[in-house]
Amino acid sequence: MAGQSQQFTTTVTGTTNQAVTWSLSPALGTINATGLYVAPATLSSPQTLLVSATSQADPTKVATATVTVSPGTTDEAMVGPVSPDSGSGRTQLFRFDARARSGELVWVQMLLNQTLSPTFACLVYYDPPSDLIFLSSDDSQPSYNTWVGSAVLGTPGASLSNSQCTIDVANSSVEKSGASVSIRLSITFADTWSGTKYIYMAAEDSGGERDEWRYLGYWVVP
Amino acid sequence: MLLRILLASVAGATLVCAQDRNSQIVGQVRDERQRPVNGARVDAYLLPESGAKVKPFRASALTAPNGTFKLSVPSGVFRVCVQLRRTELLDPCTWSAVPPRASVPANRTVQLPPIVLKRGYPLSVRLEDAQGLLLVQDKGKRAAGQVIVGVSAPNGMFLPMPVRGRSASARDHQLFVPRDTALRVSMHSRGFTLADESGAAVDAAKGHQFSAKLAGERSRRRFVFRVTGLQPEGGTK
Repeated sequence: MAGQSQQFTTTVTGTTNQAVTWSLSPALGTINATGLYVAPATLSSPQTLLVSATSQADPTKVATATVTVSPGTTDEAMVGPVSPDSGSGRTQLFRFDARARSGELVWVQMLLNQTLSPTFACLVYYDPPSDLIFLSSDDSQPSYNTWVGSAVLGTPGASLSNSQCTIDVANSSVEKSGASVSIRLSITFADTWSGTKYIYMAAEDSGGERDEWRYLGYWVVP
Repeated sequence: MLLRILLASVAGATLVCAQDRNSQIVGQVRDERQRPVNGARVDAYLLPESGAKVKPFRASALTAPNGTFKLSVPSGVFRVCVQLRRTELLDPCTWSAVPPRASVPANRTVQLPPIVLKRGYPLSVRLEDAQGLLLVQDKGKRAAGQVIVGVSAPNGMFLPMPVRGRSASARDHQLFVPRDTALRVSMHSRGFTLADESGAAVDAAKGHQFSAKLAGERSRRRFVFRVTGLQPEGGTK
């Protein structure tokens, strides 16, 4: 992957001289005398190269490995963690973190439910440009989505409610830093919605990368 | 003299979160023509079983030139998602009625059937905005206004159509979607009044919905709405 390194090793048999000379073809990235390959910092598309080790005892003996380097994608998750990621209670201030891999976040969604479903759930959509949150209506179903309403985080006196939860918008907030956001939602769960609720998040950035719905924790509503 | 050189890489190419990982998920990603897909990102997300309290886990890897991947995971049930950035290939996790899943026992390797990425086609919603009202919102000069546009994915979740283009007089939302799939597009507006292409007002404040299905070249791929004005401040919930 762009910018990452990979250590190569050799075993030379038939001679006591273990020394080899490393080379790349094409010269994409660098490789040092110990066989540590470093991919280019940036790439526009996946590319393949050959790593060669040539015996210094007999330069006609060469071993090769094919390496594919790819651009951009990192292991960093776009969503999570959520804090707290477990516990119990009727009212809780949750912190949901998300970050873009490239560009900026274009949407973030947070779901608390028994299953990965918007039906009878506490599903919140966050719109980064406006800092608006939308809360799902009770009848959000696989065939369509509706929202009970929206409000800008931190708006005094504002709240959003469905049959599962109430978002105290006034005591909720968002913090932005570069490509990252921390969304704090003050959530009160309905008396009638007891049981274990799983916490999921999903997000997409302006580079087109999306973290699909990811399980991040659970909360027990007494 | 018999001389031979064996070349090996020390570290695996798999990218994984820290957690006990004694099992593996292996498989291959292909396109609709059964060609291997190189460089696709494969994510395995641990799914909580009903009522169980499990630690979240995700593992990721990029596919090799022959489309294969290998993920080191703990035991559990995983949803396997695949995306190839900046292409029209669709993530089966989002668009398949039955997304790839792997039930992984401890200390075992699970071979998945080939994961086939279907080709997607662009579905667009254009918001014509002759007065430049959306642009004012985009620049943050007017609080609390937005139009969100999206479709219902097969799993029922709301899948937003991100803004892929904008000018002083229009904003284009676009999403790659599969062919021959009935979609429900929804628009929800806060702060703006909208009309459809014919000029008829639509109640996007409560949520406007319409159907779309890409079935062939003649299918309608772009829907146009007009931003006709501003709702009074606080005029929506």
